[in-house]
Amino acid sequence: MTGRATFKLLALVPVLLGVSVITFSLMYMAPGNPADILMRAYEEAPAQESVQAFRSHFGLDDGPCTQYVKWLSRVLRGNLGVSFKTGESVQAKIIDRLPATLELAGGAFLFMVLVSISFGITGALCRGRLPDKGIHILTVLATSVPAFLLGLVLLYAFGVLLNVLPVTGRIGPGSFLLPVVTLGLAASCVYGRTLRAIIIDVIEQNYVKQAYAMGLSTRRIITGYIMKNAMLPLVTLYGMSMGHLLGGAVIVESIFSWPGVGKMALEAIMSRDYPVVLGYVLFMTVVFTMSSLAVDMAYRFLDPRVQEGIGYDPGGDGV
Amino acid sequence: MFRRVLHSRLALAGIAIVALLVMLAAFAPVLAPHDPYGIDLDRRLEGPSPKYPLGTDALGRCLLSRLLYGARTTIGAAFAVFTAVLAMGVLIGIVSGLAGGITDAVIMRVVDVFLAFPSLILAVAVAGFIGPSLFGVLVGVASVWWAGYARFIRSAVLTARQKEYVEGARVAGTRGIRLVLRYIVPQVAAPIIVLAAMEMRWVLLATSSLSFLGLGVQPPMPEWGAMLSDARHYIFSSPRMMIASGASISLAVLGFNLLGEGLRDALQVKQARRR
Amino acid sequence: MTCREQRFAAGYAIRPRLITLSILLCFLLCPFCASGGSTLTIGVGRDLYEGPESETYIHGSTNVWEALTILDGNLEPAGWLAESWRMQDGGRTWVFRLHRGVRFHNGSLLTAAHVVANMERRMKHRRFDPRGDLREVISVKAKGELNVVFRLKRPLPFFPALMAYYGSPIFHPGVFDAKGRITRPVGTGPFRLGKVKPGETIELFAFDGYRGKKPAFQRVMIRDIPDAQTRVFALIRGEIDAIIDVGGILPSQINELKAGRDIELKRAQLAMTHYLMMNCRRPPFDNVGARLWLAGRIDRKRLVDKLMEGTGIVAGEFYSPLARKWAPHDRALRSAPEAKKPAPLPKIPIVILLHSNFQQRLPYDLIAQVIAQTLREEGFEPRIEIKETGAFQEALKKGEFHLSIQPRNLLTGDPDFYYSSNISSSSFRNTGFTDPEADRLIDLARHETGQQKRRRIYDRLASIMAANMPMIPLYHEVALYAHRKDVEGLTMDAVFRPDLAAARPSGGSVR
Repeated sequence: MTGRATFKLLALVPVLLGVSVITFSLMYMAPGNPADILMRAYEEAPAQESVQAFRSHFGLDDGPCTQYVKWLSRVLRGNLGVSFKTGESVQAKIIDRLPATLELAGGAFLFMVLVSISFGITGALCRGRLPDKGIHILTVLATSVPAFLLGLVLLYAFGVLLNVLPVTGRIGPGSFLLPVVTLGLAASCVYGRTLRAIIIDVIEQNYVKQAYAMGLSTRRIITGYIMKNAMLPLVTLYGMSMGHLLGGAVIVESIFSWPGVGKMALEAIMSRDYPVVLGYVLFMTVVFTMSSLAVDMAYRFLDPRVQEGIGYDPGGDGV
Repeated sequence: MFRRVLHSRLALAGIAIVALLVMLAAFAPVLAPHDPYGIDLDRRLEGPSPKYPLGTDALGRCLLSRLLYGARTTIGAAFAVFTAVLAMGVLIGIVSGLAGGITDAVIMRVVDVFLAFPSLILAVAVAGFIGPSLFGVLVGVASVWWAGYARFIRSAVLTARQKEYVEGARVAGTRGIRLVLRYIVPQVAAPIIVLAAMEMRWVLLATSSLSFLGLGVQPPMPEWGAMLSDARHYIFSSPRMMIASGASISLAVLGFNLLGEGLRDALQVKQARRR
Repeated sequence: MTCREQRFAAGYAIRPRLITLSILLCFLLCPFCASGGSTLTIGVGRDLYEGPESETYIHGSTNVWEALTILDGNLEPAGWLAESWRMQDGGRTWVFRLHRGVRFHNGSLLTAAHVVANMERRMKHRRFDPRGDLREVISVKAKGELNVVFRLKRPLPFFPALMAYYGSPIFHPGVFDAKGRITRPVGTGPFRLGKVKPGETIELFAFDGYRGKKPAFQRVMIRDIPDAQTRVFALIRGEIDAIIDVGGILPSQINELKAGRDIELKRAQLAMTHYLMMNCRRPPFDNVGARLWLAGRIDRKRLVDKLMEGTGIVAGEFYSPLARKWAPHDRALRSAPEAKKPAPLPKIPIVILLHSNFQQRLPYDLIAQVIAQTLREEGFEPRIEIKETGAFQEALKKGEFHLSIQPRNLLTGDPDFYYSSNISSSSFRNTGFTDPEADRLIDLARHETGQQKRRRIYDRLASIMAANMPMIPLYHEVALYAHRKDVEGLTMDAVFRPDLAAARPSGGSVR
């Protein structure tokens, strides 16, 4: 078990290198140079000598390989560099904004767990009847509406028409609800359906039928038998979803002016602030891969029989 | 399998929606009442009328005509991305699955790298790198999606290879392209089709999200994501603009959603019976 | 088991927990709620925090720092930290006399030596002087406690205007590090900086030691809300008290705001003009005739009337008419001669280049589409390209465009600023127009101290402009800003700096 974890961690190294090389080349080859871009105050042209001063200050006159190697050696020493734009350290910038994203993704995760479990159980127990069909229809609809549209509609409906929830930022408890629902709704419904299928599978097992026959209460059966057996696949699903939630936060953060790392990354891409983009991508990649590693480990821990890795879950950052 | 699909009401609804949208897109020039690019500053933001069934947009263009032409861009883009992703995924997956050894290991590490990326950020970075355009979005989304397919198809190939008759054919000396076409492709075709239908909606969502962020098509070309992005500034005065473009996107995603779900159910039933 | 029982089991057991948990979570995770006291909350569409690698650390709109001079309503320099100034030595020496008793936020008194240290920071570290305001300064010296003496290479008759606002931001020199960065902006403005959360909020507190009228609001929160629609929603809901920045409200949102009864919508004419730049190096607009034709063919009045909802003034001159002193001499555009249509270029698309940053703030894409329509009617093949900053600048540099809509601020209120930075052939922004006579006149006027002579030179330049039309001025910006009716006195000047100190709760009620 530990051996496998170490092996997986080691296998992470080339992946991270690859990710950083691709990101760096994309940023480096993209049109425009950061000195010009960032030196431009609102829309005034920078003087040539100022641009030169900026370039030499940030070592932008070096070739791409030298720049990359310098960057990498700094990163290995635990320093992600400083933002071209504001001069803040990239770590500090990410750490500053991480809580907001974690709150959002964490909230969406919690929302997803609670909603999908209640949908899953209701759907499975009322199979084929009204509640089940209702949930199914909701699922189909929720997965058909893009997050950016859902966000706008929720903003308009709850913020402006009903005037009950705030529309911007992280101010007060209410501001939390709309972004969380926007981010988590589609995933909740999908996982609710998956859980429903799992539970139906479990219900048909003999020991559950036996439990019913023994006259145990529904609640006992659900918590004691059904959920216990549905746990394993659920852990996997939920674990895998965390990465997608963090990724999907990019759009939701932009719509709701949520001051997290996703909004920061989007802005940094637009202004060619390489160190910030590189730092963000590297950081997110670590989070992504570590979370799937953790899921893998948890899965093995819960069910030692498992040999193969967990299936790949294509696409879908909840966009 | 296909009979199963036809028996599923969901799948039928999905097929109907997708077919309808494809038809609307194909016959847009015939169906559209006006020129989707015809600006008329005297008719800005007019409500629905017999002449303009859905009213006009911020530049006095016929909204219905733009939606119809937008179907071409939006759905066309999704299909284009999809074809590219599939072609790349199938090619790389099959090569990797058949070659094995170092080639396989290297390809799979590259796939790992692409899968490890926060996908939307990669798409945004690539699209930003190419420059905001329809092409940029296509490449951006495709560059994110191909990796998952390559891995999926590789494992399908590996499974197919282990089948006795494939092994038999190999022993009998069938190699390379012939082996692939004759024995492996038929094996992996079904799961790929299902996956394709299921994934089409993600592609559709991703392309319209990028357009919404302003990285997609350039005005005046009609595209649903971009139209929605423009329409939101008129949410109070002309909500119909937002409703129309938003509903179009959702309907298209819904169609592929249902289709995918129907196909998946049909396939699962089939697998269960075989077991 | 009936469905109802099952619902009890599943739904009821879990849903109340869901709600309680979510609410609990919200309270746990949101450490700060709206605080009481008199706070003014402002929404803007960009981050006014610029950080230690920038010239001023924080945008001037925050009212944290001040400069030697500031432009008044006619775009003429007025005293700010400087009480008065005088020219010596034929315009080669300028002496600024500072106000007595100006205090920095740390309590110390402003002296001439402080101003010198600020200027030396920008002269030594050129990246903090991005527009090159100080490039003709030889030395800056303190004379006594309150006089600052600038020595210039050549006479600059408009030097006080050059020093306005972003021309001479003043901070306490103790905050500069060895590399000239500002570690903490300690200025002299009516507000001092509180906590900054980049990309989120900037907190400002009223500065008790301010020399002028004390601000009515003890605290100002500036919130970065990049999405134009969310910004307006937030104002309507009262989450913010005002939107006050250039491009803070789009013309298309006027009707949305009028619907809100508690909101006062205002307009301010800015020193900003929007131009249709033409690439004078590439056909068809390398030809003077084609440029003049396009200027005549675009119906600018109709554009402004139909699209701008009163947020623009059709430009009859090449730069802001707010600069009264210079405006009447420059009504050149109206006399532009009629010109013949150039032959459309077969198969070559006319690229209209736009900057993506302005998408959420200025209606350029609508204007571009109308211009494209006009060109199409004339047999051209227009294509709009919206590019983000890097690609946009690259395209401009490489001349990969035919037309481009761009704004320009007349930051110093002086014609030299417009001509030197746009028309001069050595300018970074010149889009291909070169005329030796124009270059000579620009240089001549820049250093001419006789007011009458300068005017005459600019008149000659204006006729060169009218005859050559290197760029087409489309409209002068009238910016929209809005605040809720429980705030009054909030205004914004021609370079969109809000007067935060003048804002007060209406009817004396403190929220």
